[in-house]
Amino acid sequence: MVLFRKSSWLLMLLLVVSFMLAACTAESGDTDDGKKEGIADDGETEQVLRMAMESEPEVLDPQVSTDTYSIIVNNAILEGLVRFHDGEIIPGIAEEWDISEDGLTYTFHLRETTWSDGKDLTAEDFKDSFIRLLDPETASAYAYIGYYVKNAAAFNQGEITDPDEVGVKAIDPYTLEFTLENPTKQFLSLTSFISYLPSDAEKIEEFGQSYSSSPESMNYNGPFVIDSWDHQESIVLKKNPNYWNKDEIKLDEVEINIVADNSTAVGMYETGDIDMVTLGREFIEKYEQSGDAEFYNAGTTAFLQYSYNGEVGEILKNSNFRNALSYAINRQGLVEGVLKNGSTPAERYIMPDTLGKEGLFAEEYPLSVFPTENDNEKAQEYLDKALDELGMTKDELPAFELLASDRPDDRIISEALQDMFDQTLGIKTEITILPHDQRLQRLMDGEFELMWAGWGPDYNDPMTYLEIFTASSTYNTTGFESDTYDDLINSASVEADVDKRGDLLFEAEQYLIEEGPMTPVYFESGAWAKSGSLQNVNRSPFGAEVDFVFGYFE
Amino acid sequence: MDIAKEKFRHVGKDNEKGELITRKSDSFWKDVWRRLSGNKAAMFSLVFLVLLLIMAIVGPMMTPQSYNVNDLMNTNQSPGKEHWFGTDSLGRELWDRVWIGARVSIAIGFMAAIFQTIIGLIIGGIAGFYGGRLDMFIMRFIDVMISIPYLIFVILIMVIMGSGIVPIVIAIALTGWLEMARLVRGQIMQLKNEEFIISAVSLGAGSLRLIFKHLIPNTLGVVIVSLTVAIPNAIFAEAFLSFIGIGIKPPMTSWGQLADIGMQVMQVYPYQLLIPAVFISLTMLALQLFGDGLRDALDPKLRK
Amino acid sequence: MLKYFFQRFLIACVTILILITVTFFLIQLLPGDPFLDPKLPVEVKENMMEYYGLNDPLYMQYFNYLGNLFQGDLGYSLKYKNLTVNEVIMDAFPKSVELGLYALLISILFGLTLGIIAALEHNKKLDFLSMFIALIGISVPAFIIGGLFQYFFAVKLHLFPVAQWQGFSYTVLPSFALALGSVALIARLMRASMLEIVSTDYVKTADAKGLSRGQIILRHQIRNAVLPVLTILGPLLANLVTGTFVIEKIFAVPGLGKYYVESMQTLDYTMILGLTIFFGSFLVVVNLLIDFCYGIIDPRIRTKKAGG
Repeated sequence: MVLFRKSSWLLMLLLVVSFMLAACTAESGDTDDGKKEGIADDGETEQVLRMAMESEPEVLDPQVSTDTYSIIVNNAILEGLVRFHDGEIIPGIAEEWDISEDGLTYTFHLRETTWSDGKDLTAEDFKDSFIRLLDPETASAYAYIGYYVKNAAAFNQGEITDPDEVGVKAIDPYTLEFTLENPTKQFLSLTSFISYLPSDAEKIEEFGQSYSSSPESMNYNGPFVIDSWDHQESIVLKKNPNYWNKDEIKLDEVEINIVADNSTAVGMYETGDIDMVTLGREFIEKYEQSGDAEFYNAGTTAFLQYSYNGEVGEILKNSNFRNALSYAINRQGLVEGVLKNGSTPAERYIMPDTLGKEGLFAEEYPLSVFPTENDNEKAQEYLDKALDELGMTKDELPAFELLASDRPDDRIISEALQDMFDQTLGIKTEITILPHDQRLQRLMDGEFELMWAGWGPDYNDPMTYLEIFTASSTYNTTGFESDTYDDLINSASVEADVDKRGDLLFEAEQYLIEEGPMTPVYFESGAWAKSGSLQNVNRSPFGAEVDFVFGYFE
Repeated sequence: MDIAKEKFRHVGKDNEKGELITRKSDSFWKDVWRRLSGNKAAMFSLVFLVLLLIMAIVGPMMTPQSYNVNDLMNTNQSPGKEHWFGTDSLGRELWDRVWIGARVSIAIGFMAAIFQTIIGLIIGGIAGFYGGRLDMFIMRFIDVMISIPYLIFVILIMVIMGSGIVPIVIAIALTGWLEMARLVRGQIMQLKNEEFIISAVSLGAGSLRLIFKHLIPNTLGVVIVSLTVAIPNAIFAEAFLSFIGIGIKPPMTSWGQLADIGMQVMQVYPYQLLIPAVFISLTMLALQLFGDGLRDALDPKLRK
Repeated sequence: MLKYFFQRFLIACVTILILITVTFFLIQLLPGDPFLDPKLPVEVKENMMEYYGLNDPLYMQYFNYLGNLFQGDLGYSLKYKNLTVNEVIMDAFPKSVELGLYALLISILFGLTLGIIAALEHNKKLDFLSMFIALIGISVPAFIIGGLFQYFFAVKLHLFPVAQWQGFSYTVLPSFALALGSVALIARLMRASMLEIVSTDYVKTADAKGLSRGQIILRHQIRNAVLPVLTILGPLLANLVTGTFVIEKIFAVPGLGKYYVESMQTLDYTMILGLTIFFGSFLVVVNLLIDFCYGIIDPRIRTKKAGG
């Protein structure tokens, strides 16, 4: 009796388990068969790219969208007047363009081509889209990206209401003219930026705010069209048969999987579910050993930002004090010992790959101010000098708050900085970790002392790094307000002469390093791995982070 | 058969005495201890937990290094003679960090669990005992509290109080007591209809006496089981908060955080996950086994 | 009975209204707003606040929201600007429910089995074994379990897909990872509850009446012991459906959990409110159903509640 009872329960348990296992294994067998292979039946390489993206595009509507992932997808499904590819500007829908002598008028000559549904794509489409970007009714966050164009700001802010006064004209169906407020060197590359991409007025009319939320609710003029979209799961792109340059597009299909967790994405890469993957800091070493890791420039200058406000601000305003902190930082140790992701120590503020007059800004205007390794003696000297000037003793120094976001890398770097300041100078810091938005709010309210921050470029020009510290910049809540600096930036932004402009920007950078409320620490890089046969997929700090448009499998 | 009537006298009705349990009260705890010490698993767990507490206190003192001192030349070193538990990505000794983490996690686990149990016991007890409209209000209040997104509370608390152990304990207990209250209420409602309660009432026991002498001791079994679940839950909740980035203030650490970091580097430096994960799991296991033992020892119904 | 549930329904509606109100005003206390971006010029921000109605006085926003809500319209998300919260829920909720239900099923099957075995074999080897199995589930945090499952069963052994949600085989790992904690919970509750019932009078009576052990176990012990387990099924299901963020993240499951956490991190007001209301109602409905079942299984409570 007892025996029977015992075995019956065991039997039940066994049944349940075996049922479960049977169900599982049977299914997994099915999927193994169905798994896509790189090689098609006829032996030819199947041109299907499978990749993972950390997050779903927030919104694909080019005039509303602002996030990295929308930019990646839009880069493939839409095309602007020009296209940014592999660090170069190549013709897009515009076959050619003229720039006036004074740098104020840009005339684009469009090729005769159509939307994916066969409707003609004209200069009018581009004009309407640009006006839509500025229309207060669109409530676009990136409306200010259009502010370089004449009267754009005034129209966006409701000072003028007639869109015809804005400096954009469709002279004929295939000629588009922009008139600018000031000569703007980066304007040509801006026309490849997401906010300047065309949207289809008819579809907008039809779908309203839901425009672009599903494959059917938008129109495409780029190399690919969206075939299917399971929100938060995957987006499948198919080659656009109506794209003007379709012969140059080798990929037939691109499957973008939304995978938030990096280890998961790496796992999918290892099992062959995806063809390329971004490597988190933890995986780089492993892939580096096997030679599969490739580094790419992330474009961001990571820096320690100071606030000059309040009582603590008085101390941080002291340039000797900031120098003391700067010399206490072991930049080399951070990038090689901790990050190991190819980042390089920052010896200056502007990221070295930024375009200058003709070539790279860093080559035309070399500068190395910051030490790559910590110099404890110098740091101590600077601290003594600072304390002298401030009339304080070291014990009177407060424990500074060091604010950082909840990104794992930010957390670890702030812990490293805390230790460096303590070990070298005996300066104490208290770390506050806040979620991204709450940290941002503290930044915008100017409520911080030390903050771990960084700046990624909006466009390929030193100006993008420099303009954020002018007195009028919304980013600059540090209390750093300098007429000298603002004058330099203002003169540079209206200067048509490239040489003079370059000189002004270089002067501004040096001034900012001397007086500005931040100490650059490193230039951020990242690493990724991709299947060996995948070619011509680029990663760039400017434009789309991943550009697979011209990619192909060998 | 002749019993003189004089030998009897009327003692009157004494509410106090009528309800008294004649057994000496100290024998109850003795009894509990006797049962508990007979339970090998529970005693083993107890020893483990005590050792853990001792190590949490003295562990960091056993190495010359401190838990927060970086050594960028020696990052991610495997465990060995030089670094007992290895080092992390800043070259900090994992040995020290594990014990510092033990202090933080155990403190959070116990404080939050006890805090939420007390609140849950009181409010659930009141709801279950008085029933009716009061019960309805309390239960609806709990419904609302359970449905309000947890993270709103957490973020609000962090913004107001900053990060640290106390805000985390409050954040965890603030929603943790809800389920406990529900559970206790359910138990008490059931108990209210049991014969021994009815007889206690008819013997004139007052509400307070009923609650504290009869109802609460009889719910202890369930409460202790929940408590042993609440401690790991609190430790896990802290880990979850670390997972989404709002946890303990660096360079302090907790087991949850260590495990979270270890999870990220699992494939490259498995020891960084293994060590905290083993400690978490063993501690949880010990807590549960000890809780089970305590429950069996305490449960008046199993006492014979 | 009907009257009782109608009453409960009315109370539920009031509860949800209070929930909406409290949440609505609580999220206003969070620092920041949905369009936080240090690059935004003041005028552009103003345009956006105006367009999305966030410049209106708070009470107006509140009543507008309620007005739309009564028409079943939860509004557009402020992050995914061209998706309505309704669309998001309809899209993602079925996946969360599927995951939650699988996990619940696994928890019940394994939890009850382990709990019953443990109780029947009280203080014997099988008791320890089942409790030990149950305890492992509760002793390891979900994110570690999930990660390990994924690494060993998918990446190393190729038994299951690594991640995503495209068929039954995709559901196995996340469901089990999610269920482990609840297996332990149910098993322990069931065991405790069974042990209590063994010593009750009606079991003794049944025994004295000469009922067979099997009948006693099935008709009296299990049936009555399941009650306390039933009470936690509601909250448990709700937990499994709403508390899936970690598992969803690890296994890239496109469920609601991600939206829920993300909406709070990015202060997507409409999404927070919409999901809170939705989850709140879900919880209330589940509880109502559980009460209903409870009433069927345990007649004592039915008569008592119906009377009062």
